[in-house]
Amino acid sequence: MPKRTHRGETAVISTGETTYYKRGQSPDPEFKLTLIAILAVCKYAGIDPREIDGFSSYSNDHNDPTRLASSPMASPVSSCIFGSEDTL
Amino acid sequence: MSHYLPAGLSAPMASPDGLDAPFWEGAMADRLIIQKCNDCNLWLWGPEWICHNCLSFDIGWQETRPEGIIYSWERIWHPVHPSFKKEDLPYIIVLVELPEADNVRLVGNLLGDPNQTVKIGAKVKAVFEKHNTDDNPYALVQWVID
Repeated sequence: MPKRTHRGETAVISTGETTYYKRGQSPDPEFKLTLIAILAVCKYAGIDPREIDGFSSYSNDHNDPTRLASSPMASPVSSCIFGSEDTL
Repeated sequence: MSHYLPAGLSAPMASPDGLDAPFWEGAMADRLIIQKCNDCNLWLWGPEWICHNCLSFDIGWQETRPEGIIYSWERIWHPVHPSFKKEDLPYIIVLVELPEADNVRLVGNLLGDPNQTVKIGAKVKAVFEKHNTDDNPYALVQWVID
């Protein structure tokens, strides 16, 4: 039976933000904002982006894992996407 | 100029965020222009917002000599699109490495006899294949044995 939970095991929790903008007001595209947030997450957690080996995305965005994997993470990334019909 | 692949295939367009626009503009001007990190000087391709080497967002564009070597290739016999008729097959796709630009790789067609013998490591040079449609003129970066 495969293990389906990480309950009780080690987790690294972190958070990262970009500058907030009103809809349509950001000078940067969505993908670049995602990269900025990921770098902030890694910095706060004290890890290198290349140590990330998984990514999950929520909703109908343009930040699919394979695209992210070729950017800051530059390593094989296992992925799961929730609720994104156009990329599944 | 004749085109390597049949008419009717969808035209490439610069991405909506404008990221790869300098590449397409360069190709229209017979120039091979790709990304280079302004911080660590690494050549990057395909186009990215961030340098995968040093994580800098400061990425510029620079012209490189349109010469490379064949890293990999494939002869395609299957009509992958309704535009392909029997006489359009086979055709050749090459993955070309640019030794002058940190060995980044570009995908294109290898012009010439579609039944030619292709050797990995062979020298190729770019051919900028113009498609002068009224609404969306563009140029494809194709390759030919040098």
